[in-house]
Amino acid sequence: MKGSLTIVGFFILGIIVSHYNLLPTSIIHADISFYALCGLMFFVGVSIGSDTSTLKNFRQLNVRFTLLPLMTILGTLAGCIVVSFFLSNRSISDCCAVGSGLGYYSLSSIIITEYRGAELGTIALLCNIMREIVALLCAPILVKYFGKLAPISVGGATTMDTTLPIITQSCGKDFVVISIFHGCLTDFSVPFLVTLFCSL
Amino acid sequence: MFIIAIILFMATGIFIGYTLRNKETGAVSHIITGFIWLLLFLLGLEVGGNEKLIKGLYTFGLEAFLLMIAGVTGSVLASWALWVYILKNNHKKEEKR
Repeated sequence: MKGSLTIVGFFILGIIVSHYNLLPTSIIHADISFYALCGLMFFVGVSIGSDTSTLKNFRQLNVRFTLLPLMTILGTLAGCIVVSFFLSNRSISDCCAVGSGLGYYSLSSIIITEYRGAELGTIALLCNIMREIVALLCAPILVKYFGKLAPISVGGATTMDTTLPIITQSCGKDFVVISIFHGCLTDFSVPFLVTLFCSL
Repeated sequence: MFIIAIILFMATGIFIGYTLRNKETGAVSHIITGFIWLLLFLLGLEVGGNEKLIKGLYTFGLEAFLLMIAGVTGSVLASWALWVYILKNNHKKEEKR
């Protein structure tokens, strides 16, 4: 929670700095964000490649539970397609691009900004931050009414880091491996899904 | 072009990460956090410099909220279906025993 607040803080700091012209405009219009994004993706890759212990744990997983990441992605996209009919100025692919951030607001908003501009990027940022907050706050209620997979599914790409503690608490220790597996797979699929829907 | 560059960077990272798998790579998560801060700051710069975006923040917030509700509802229903399916199958197994 503290980590996400810091990230939102940097976003708000950026708004304030540029709204009151505290920085020369040449910095704002330089292509720093593209190079920073390449750097980010490189280091995300390093962290995935160097983490072999998580991969070993996945072998003890019940095969049926491995369907959960797929259910999360399909469910989210189905919801976004339905809402896109009510948002007249957004296309289906716009809505799916925002939705397929799956709670990974930093990366999804950055990629969407590069492709579709800051407007949809901001929507993606807000939408996916809200998703993480809902996952953190509603996990116990979700378990009660929709079973122990629901909070993991709502957590999306955050279930291997920020929402893991609350999931462990409300679903029990047996669901830690499923949660990490789910987080790993959805985390990995976010950049691909978002770019896919942005290029449609 | 853009997507190819991104995927290439990520693939190179995965490869290098795999070769470093037995080494201490704790610094990587800090570097990632730093990059995320920088990028969100830059997104903020872009939003703050755009009058149209600032004025529309309320509308965008509402659209974001609707999309969030949609995504959450969809994934809850899908995972619920899987949960019910798994429970039913476990029951059948126990009956056979």
